[in-house]
Amino acid sequence: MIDRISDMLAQVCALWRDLTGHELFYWGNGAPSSMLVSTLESTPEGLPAGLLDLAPESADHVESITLQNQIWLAGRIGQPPVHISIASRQTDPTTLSQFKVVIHLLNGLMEDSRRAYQIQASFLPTNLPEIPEFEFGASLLPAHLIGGDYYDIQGVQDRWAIMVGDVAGKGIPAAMLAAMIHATLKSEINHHTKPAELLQRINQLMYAELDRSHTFITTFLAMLQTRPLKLHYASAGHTTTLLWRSAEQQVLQLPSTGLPLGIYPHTTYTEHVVPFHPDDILMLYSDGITEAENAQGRVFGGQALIDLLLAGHPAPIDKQIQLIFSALDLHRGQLPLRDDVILLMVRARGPEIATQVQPFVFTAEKHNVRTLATQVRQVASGLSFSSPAERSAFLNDLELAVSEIATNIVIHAYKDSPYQGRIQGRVSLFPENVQVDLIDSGAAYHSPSGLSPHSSRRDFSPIDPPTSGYGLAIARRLLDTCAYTRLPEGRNHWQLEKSIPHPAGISHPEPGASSDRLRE
Amino acid sequence: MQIKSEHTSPHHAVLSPSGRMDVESSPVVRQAILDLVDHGVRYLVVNLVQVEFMDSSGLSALVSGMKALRRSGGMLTICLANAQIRTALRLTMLDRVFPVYESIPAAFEAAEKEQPPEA
Repeated sequence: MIDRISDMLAQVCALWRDLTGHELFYWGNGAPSSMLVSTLESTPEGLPAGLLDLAPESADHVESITLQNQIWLAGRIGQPPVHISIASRQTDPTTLSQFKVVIHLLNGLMEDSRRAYQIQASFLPTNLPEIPEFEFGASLLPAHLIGGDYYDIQGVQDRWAIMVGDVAGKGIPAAMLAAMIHATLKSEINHHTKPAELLQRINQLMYAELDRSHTFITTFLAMLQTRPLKLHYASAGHTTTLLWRSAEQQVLQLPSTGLPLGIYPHTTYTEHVVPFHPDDILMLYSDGITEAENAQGRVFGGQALIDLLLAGHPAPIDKQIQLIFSALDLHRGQLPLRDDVILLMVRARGPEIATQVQPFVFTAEKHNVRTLATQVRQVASGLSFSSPAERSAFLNDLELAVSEIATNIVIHAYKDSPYQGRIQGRVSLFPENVQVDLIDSGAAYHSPSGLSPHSSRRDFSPIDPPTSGYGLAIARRLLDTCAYTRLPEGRNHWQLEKSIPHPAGISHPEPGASSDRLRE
Repeated sequence: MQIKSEHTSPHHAVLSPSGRMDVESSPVVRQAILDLVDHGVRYLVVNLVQVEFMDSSGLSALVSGMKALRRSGGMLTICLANAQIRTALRLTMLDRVFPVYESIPAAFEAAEKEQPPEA
């Protein structure tokens, strides 16, 4: 909201300058510094002392005062605690009435702004359906409080309608159009259950308004059916939808099936039917996520979302949403988001196998090796052991193995990259074992020559041991599975697994007898 | 990572790191050992009583340090390592290079004897 008002004020300043030849000054009052609207414009004259302390009694009230032999006009817009003072010199009798008009106009715009925010905040769904067949999750992080993005999840007869949309343009007009299409969708959805028909109808209804506003809307609309499990969708130029296919362990991007709304009055849309199986996940998002920039100007990107689906897909949806926002925070650091960020996920529930799945994401920095190792240890401590000694040995060994693999990734994977890479993954707890999956997008891992996975006796003289190269060997000896795979699109996947020792007999695997698999 | 070092004579010192010896902190330990060698230390005991965790990065720092001591005609020994550290030493067979002594005096005695560990 504040940024929009800055834009408005900047435009009004320009108009005022043209009209009167004077500068219009404005400054924020009584608000935390992060909400201050602007700084003073510097001119040779500056502002006389005494003007800053002026406190007009109410909005629309204009004060006229004389300071240092100059006549000044001052007014206030907005309501305390966040209000803005406006001031200008007066050298012409007509300036006073013009100033009053400007104050009145600005107050009106502030009020509209505030009301539009209230409208928007109320129409976005906060309560998600809780049904046995699907697990829903949604999160909206507004960068500004008004935008042209919208989403909705609605039950219609025996289906669930899910939609995400983006009005081209910014500010109050975009927000108004977003509210309008949302209301239209809500009513039309009862008459048209097929996504393609619905989009066609919406396009017809909204065309005139969109044409008049010289804008368009991209929308993705899916209908989810529970019995049998089915996903129909139509997409008006909206491309930011991903489908995680659990059986294939791959992410599919769902393509657009027609033009955006508002381009032509009679656009037809096609509809796709997509297989949607248990444990598959549909992810809808606004490009505020993928376009988010870090300090170096690099965008978060679509691949990052795919990495995070790979890493977190078995975890509860709300944890996956937290994961994505954590990664976004790591990426942008202190930089604010420029656009609205919408994230909506639906999973077709499948059989629960893991007792607990905890996803994580860290920057691939040395200090995070410890963070990761201790987090894995902490989750694994949920296993049941037959004695404190067994528990202690197991957790120590697991922590050591994870430390070695994480060190390997941190040191080698991003060695030649100018960008700060991330490691994402999950710890999965099962009744009798723990699994750790690590995904990174660094260089491929190549095992050093001379170190065979099954060598149980290193060739070194105790007088002159090697200084390095122990790490992977340690990990392989301590884990029941230590598998590396190079995934498409330049991803590395380490899968580590350690089982509770069986009560009957063996306590520790013999060195070199680990059943690891090394695949390239 | 906090490291304390104490000279018990011009050529004898005890280095006491505390916390974790992993990829982040091990370079600091390695450098501390090299600095002591530069200052004339010949018999160095690394007291691991305050080290809660060590991985291969930590082991590498010990090996580097030991080689530096040897090059200058001295020796490095370790004492008071916990179960986790002993596991790491055993898995890498570095337990033959670094037997774990139970006290600082015992570790110094072994260092001065300069017996090569059993092959």
